[in-house]
Amino acid sequence: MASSGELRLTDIERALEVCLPGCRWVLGVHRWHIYPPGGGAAFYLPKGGHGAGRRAVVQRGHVRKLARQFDVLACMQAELDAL
Amino acid sequence: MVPRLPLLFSFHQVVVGNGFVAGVRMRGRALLEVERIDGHEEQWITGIAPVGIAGGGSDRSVACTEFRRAWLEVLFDLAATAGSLDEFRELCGPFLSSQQASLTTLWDEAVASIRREHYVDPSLQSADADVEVAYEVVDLSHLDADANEVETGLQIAA
Repeated sequence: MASSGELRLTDIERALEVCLPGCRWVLGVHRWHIYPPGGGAAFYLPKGGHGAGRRAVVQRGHVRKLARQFDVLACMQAELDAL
Repeated sequence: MVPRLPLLFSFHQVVVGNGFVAGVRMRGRALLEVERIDGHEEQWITGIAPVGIAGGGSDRSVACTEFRRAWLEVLFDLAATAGSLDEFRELCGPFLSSQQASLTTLWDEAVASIRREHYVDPSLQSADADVEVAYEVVDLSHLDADANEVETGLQIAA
C-alpha cells in the first residue's frame, strides 16, 4: 500500500487516462518516459520503490509536477484524493 | 517571502553509451518551490528548460540532488537506447531543448518578483536571468585534461 505522500503508478496511470487519454508510457532503465498525446514534451517519472513495475510508488510531488506540465492538475486532483 | 525562486543551473556530465563516450553540458532553468505535504514542508525543483524533470525532499540540498539525478537518469536512459554518438545526440535534442510556455511564464514571473523585491538568498549566488539556455553533446573519445570544466551548480536568476 502506498504511504502518505506517495502514489502508486497504477493509480497515476488510471487517473491520467481519464484526464489526458492516450498518453504513452515507455519504461527506460531508470525512468518512465510519459509522452502526452499530440507530441508535447515528455515527463520522466522515477521507476519508484516498494514494488515492481506499475505497482511501485512515487512521491506525490512528482505527480503534481507531471499534472501541471500536462495542464491537468485539477482533474488529477479530482481523480486522486492523495494528490 | 518569494514563493518561487527562479534558478539557473550548469550541469556537465560524462555519459557512456554503446561504443561512445559523450560529454553533455547544459545551462538551464529551474524553479524552486515549497510544498506542504501532510503538514510538513518539502522543497521541490522543477525543470523549466528542460521540462519533464523534478526533484524534491525535506530541504533544498535534497531537492537539488534529486533534480540533478533526474536530469542524469534521463540522459542515461537515452544513452542506453542509442547505438552511436550521433543517435544519442539526436535523442538528447527533444529532451534538452524542451520548454513549455506555461512553465516559462511561471519562471518569468518569479524573476520579475525577485527583481521587484530585491530578494537576496544568502545560500545562493545570483546570476543574470537573461543568460541564454544552451546545451551541447560532444565527443569525449579524443579529449585531454584541457577539457575539464567545473560546474557552477544552482544560482538565483535575478
